[in-house]
Amino acid sequence: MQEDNAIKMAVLAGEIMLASGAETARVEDTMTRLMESSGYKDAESFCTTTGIFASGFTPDGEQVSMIRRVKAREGNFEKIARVNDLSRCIVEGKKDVVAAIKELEEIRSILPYPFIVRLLGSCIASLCFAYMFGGTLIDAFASFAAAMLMQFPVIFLERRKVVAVLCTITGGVFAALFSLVFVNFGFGHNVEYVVIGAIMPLLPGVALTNAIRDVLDGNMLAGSARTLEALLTAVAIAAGVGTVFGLWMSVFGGLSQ
Amino acid sequence: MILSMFLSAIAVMGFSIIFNVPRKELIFCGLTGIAGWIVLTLITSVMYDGIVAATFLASITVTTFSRILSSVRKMPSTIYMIPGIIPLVPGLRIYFTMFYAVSGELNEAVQTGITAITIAGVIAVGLLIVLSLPRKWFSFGKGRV
Repeated sequence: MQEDNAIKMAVLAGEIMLASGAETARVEDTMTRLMESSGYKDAESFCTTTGIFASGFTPDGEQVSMIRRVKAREGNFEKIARVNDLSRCIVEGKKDVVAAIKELEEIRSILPYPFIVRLLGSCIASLCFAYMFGGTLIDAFASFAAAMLMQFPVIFLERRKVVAVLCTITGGVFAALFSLVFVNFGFGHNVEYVVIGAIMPLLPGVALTNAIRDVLDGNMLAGSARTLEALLTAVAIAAGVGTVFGLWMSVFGGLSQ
Repeated sequence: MILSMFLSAIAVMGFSIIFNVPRKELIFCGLTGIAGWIVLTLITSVMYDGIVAATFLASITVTTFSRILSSVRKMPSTIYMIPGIIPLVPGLRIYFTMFYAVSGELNEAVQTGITAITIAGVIAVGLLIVLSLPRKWFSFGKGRV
């Protein structure tokens, strides 16, 4: 019975890591190590951005395999760090499989930072970026406000499980819209810095960095999928902002008075 | 200069909160961000039109920093790397590419667009070079990271 649990443990660990935004090689490596530490022979794991496959021979010589489809997608580095620690404990033999599964379930249910903290975090990041890129202080505060207002429609759509691209386009649309309105009412001087600050939280940072790491590790399938994800997100932001700017220009004949 | 350094740390920490970086590591993410930003601003202020070279070196700095931190703090390097890279992203240029394209100035759009893509490319190459170095060059503690 112990052996059956080991593959479950490995797949669960892999699932948490993949859904939290770990790179493919780390997931595969962790899963293989976990299975080998429980005495599996020919333990193999394969992971793409949307699913996990694991198989191996138990110490009794029985072949087992498991597939897990991973849908959830969030950046939660705390979970990755915790699973990483746990896997080190298991490989060193400090924890048995049953205890490990229990702790993995616990890790899976770790809550992210409270909503308001994340909202403020992203808005403050927007404020700083608007100023760092060369905007004035008022631009920075306009960017803060635009970033905050832009989040609400995005979160509204995300809660209703609307396709990710559409959420990003909406984010771009509202970021541009609020920035233009603010600047035209005298809250902010340069619309470009306000918009750039406001769209920073939408950028595909995790996808892009992981795409590079995956390609580098030779995981071409996951790498190209993530590159596509990053490109799609970037294009979606540009499309959202561009549409609003284009409409605004053709209606008012310019971006700001 | 000092203010923008400080702001870069805050911005990076703000991003780290979005990515749910563990609380104890937030300050280290901020430091990674400062390191990248210092390199970027120093080189762009010395070199005229040196944004591509500056971004390249900043990307190398951020990745090296992340790998050292990851081995010292026993955390995956991703935690420091992803927030740290964000200030280097050519947001302004991508914005202007889009802006010119929408206002029908296609020459400028192509020009800015190519610079933006080049910058994104050198960030990737910087990451790639440092990530492909052997792990033991960065390990000051023991154990696998």
